[in-house]
Amino acid sequence: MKESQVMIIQYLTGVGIILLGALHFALLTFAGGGYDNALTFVSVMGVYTSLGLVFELFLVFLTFHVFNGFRKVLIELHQGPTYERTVTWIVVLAGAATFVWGTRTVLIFLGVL
Amino acid sequence: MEEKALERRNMAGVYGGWLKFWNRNFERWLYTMHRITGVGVGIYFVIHIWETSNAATAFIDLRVGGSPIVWSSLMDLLRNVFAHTGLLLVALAAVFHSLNGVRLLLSEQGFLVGKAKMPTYPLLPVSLKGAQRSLGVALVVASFLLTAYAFYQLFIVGLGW
Repeated sequence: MKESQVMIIQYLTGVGIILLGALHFALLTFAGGGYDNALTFVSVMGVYTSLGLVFELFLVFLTFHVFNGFRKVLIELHQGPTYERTVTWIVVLAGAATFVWGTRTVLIFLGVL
Repeated sequence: MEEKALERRNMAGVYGGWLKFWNRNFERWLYTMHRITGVGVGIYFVIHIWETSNAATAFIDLRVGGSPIVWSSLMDLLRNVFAHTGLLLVALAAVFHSLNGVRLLLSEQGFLVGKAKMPTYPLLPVSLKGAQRSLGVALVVASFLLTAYAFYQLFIVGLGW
């Protein structure tokens, strides 16, 4: 995949993160009865069970954006074919592990696991 | 030979390329902050995925007749001034990175950077006089205003100051 195409995905996931991140911050504050109430187990369970798939989408956007961001930073600081391939593989594996662990949380709340 | 020269040009490093921005322009400062906040929020994201997975563990405990103590005790542990200061910094970084990301997206697409013109002395780039710079100033101000709200939620509502 061309770097310019990866960059378009980086921008699109960024826009998605801003929209879903605004929802996430709203639920943690004014839309969730204030920060002291938003993190009680009942509130957290309510949000995960009703918006589980929205959180999964948020996780997809974030995992790509964050790990591609790490890759971009590392490749910006140092270049070379072997180095760049190694960096790409490390971020793909670390990103996959993070994604799987986050998906586990969503699937447990949705009753799949 | 050419490859070596390219390598040198691109390898200013964290100090020369990011941190040494005091003799550069405002956009360079925004660039540095975009890198720092991006890496910071990215690291927080990975920790946050582990942190929230404790809620799922608590949910499993609840399903088998136990209590969600795993989650409640973690939240109690994190309800202190140090953790909330960390969250405040994450909020500031996330808001700044988001708003500056919008500026980068717009200016990369050619908006807000002014019209190209014939270069005349002192050869200042037109883009640095475009609306993107005003947007840059506005987004820094907006980031601090939104962080003030995060301060209210984290310290006044959350910690009962």
